[in-house]
Amino acid sequence: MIGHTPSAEMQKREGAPALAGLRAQAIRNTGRRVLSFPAGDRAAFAIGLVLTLLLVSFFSWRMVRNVTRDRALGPVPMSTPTPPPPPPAPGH
Amino acid sequence: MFSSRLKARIPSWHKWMGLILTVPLLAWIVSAAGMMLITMDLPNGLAGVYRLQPYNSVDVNLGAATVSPTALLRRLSTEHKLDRVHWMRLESRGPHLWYVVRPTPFSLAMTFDARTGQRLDPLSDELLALSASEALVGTRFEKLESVPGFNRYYEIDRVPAVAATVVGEQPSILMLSRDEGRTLRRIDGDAEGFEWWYKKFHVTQYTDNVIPWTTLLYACAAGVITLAVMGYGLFWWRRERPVASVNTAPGPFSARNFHRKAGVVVGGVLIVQLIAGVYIWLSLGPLNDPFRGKSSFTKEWKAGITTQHELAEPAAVLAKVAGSLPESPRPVQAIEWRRLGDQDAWFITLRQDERPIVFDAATGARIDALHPQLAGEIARQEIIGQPSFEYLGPLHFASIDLNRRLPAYRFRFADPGITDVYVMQNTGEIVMRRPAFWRLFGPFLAVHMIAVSGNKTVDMSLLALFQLGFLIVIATGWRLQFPGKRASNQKGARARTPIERMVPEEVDAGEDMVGAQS
Repeated sequence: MIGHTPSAEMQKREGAPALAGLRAQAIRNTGRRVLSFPAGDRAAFAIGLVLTLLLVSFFSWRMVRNVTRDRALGPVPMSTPTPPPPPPAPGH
Repeated sequence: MFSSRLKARIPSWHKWMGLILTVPLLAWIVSAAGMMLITMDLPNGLAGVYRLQPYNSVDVNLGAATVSPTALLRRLSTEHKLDRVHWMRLESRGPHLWYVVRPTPFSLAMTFDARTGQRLDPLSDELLALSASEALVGTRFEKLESVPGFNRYYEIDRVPAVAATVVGEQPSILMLSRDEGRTLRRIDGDAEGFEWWYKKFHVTQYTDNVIPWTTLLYACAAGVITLAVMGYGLFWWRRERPVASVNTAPGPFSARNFHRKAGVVVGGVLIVQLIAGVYIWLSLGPLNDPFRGKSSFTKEWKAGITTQHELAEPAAVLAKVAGSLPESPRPVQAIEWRRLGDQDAWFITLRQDERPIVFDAATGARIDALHPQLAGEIARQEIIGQPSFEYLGPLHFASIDLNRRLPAYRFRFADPGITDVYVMQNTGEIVMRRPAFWRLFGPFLAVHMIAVSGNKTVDMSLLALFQLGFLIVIATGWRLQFPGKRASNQKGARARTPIERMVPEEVDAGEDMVGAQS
């Protein structure tokens, strides 16, 4: 079978692998790789990328806010009155 | 960047690592769900809500102590070579009357019988059982187990302690210290369930030896991160290749399709979550001491009561403050002698479930709140290097001892850890240390739990969705490895076609899991 040219019927039956072979041939001919994600894969990848970037951005924002707020805490006058009676603890 | 040989091996590595790492991944997913459900409706978090016993079960007059506090101080000087103590407390526990002495703010306490002077610590199982029975309303002691454990208030690495199970109205486990029967933690059913999921399945800590279990945990985390990265690699390298074969006819609902798509959707999030989780466990595990502020303990503490000091007799204390105490149906539960700055103070406990009432020993005047400057100076004595501090204001802070929030001051010290210290307003007692290291924790936890909105329902739904995504990736991965008899036969029948054989190996290097096994 090696070297055998696939018939149209075989190509139809084999379908996808035939296409893969043609792509491989194209790559050999042109020396370039071809980006050809199926649309569904592209969408899934894009969604995953966006979710990951959102999570990383959220972390960065929370960290910056955390540090900023922490550093912003400054001394208050020692004469600050004591707070009002504590709120009742849950269940007490 | 990657050789063909390496590319050819990655599918097999991805397959086998995926199969093996299913175990920790499933453990993390299931335990996260378990912990999430447990903590969903807890009114006071894992600290729980308890009704503490207000009074000792036996009325014991503290004036009946035959050993005087001054005599005990001298004995501590001569027999134990102590030149000072942090505080001394006389209290009743069941029928017993005993002194508890804390030599330093960070050391284990010493306990002495107040009638005979006999040293009682480490407390016997009988005395600890008695302490357990006296702790909570409507409960009685059932059983006891020795469980030394970490505690943020003690310098010692593992505090000798017991887990005392109490049953009745408030069934729980009380972690009691061996030195004085102090309740270090209270664990109710929810907290116990949380700890079970957390320790056994989420951070895989099966003994108290942190390092080997952490090594295992981090190896699993590194493995899963590598697995996800390899998955992305395969996704990229196979971009020119159509999906599988025609014979297996992988439609949109095939395992392969789900595995690939769900993998690229949740893989990045999983990597970020795991990196955050690694940091979180670094804080709660191997670096727990500095995380809890133990690095700010001073080694040169020189405050407190000198053992040459004269302390007022219990009967004299009670007589002096009697007129200033509110009405109580039961005797005074405890007297504590302390130094607050350069003045002697008495802490009078009328109810064990409330903070003590503080008196100036010299004048007998009641002290409702120390001035922040004095409270800060008292705390400064207990901070490494006695650094300068800033007063950040008053607030209410949770007291573990009393299971409630109490008025406190917050200070920021200029020690190496830039530690925030929370000090009780009336006693000057440090209840919490939070170094800058601790204060960075929030963003990591929020990312790890995908708590992005601040709305519990939304955040839990998001986390559940991602967990579902991880489960789909795991399930479809296994399906690809074990496709079933019918699918196996189809693949077996589908030998490599001539056209496939013509495709150069480097193009087809990203052999998938099914391809690799067929």
